[in-house]
Amino acid sequence: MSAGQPYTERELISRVKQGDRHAQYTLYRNYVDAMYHTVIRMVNHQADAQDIVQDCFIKVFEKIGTYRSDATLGAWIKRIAINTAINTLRKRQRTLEFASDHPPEHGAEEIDDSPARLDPAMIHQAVRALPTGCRAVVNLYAFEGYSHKEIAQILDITESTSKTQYKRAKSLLRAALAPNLMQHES
Amino acid sequence: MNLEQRIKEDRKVYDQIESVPHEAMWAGIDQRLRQGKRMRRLLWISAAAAVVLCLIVPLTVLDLGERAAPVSSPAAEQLQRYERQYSRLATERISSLDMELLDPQIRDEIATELAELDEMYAVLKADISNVPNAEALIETAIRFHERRLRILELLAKEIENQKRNLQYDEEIQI
Repeated sequence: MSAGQPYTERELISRVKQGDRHAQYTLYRNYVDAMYHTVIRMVNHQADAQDIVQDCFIKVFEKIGTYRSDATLGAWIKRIAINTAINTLRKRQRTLEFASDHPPEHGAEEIDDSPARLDPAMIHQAVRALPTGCRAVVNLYAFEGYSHKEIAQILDITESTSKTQYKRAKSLLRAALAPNLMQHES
Repeated sequence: MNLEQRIKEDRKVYDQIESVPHEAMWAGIDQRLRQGKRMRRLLWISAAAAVVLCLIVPLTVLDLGERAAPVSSPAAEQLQRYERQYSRLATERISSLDMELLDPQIRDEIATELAELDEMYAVLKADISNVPNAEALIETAIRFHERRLRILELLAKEIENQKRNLQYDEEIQI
């Protein structure tokens, strides 16, 4: 049997609440790809990402009774995954390291106006090489679509720090991608 | 074009850069679910047994004072009627259970607990027969039977879940 059973979301949730293994597996297959990509971008480490995704789904199965439909199921699961990933980063590093709040002097926006279209794999690699705090903000803002206000709550930082870190990240990305940009332009 | 726009547009490409180890992660989740379920089952059995024991033990140690010998008192007869009624329901319920689906260790634990409860109930029954005014004790004995039936119903539900999960385990192929 494939995981793609034609459950409605309500049926799926109800069955998962009852501990139905097939429903749990269906829910897992529906969301695992998105969760894994979100988590690995946050923690930058395959084994940690696998552990976090497993923890995340165990939590989802245990706490699905507390899910309220004011957010989509996907958004609820993603928030659990992100919180679990942040906790892991905190445990690993004790605190998320955010560099100075002073905004970069130049270069923050330059990456955006580049006429050359960089290979997404290069951007991906450059994002992965960012310092942990910067990377968390870029992932939450650019990849996951959270606002700076939401990121401030998730990471327990100020909204201003979130914005500054995002600018700094863009500046660092610009510097990291500069050789490739020059190649494209020449 | 800004960074977030570019990322949004290329989102699918980013998500294909890393392959997802579905099988390995599900195996880990599955193992943890089984361990958790087994622990919950053991806790549940212990809790259920504890509830029934708490109900019974105080009665067996009551200092009942006057001990008459109304072996065939109305109270004892009333209890016998309830006993027959609940015993029939319990027998029906037990015969419908597919105990083979339970983990053998858990099955043995349940059998031991039930046998111990039977022994304690026999003591309680002897006490009831020797008390002149045993309405409260009879009431408690009836509650004991009701609890026992409830435990059997929960057990039936657990076996059903186990049956369903076994079936899915065989069918799920990643």
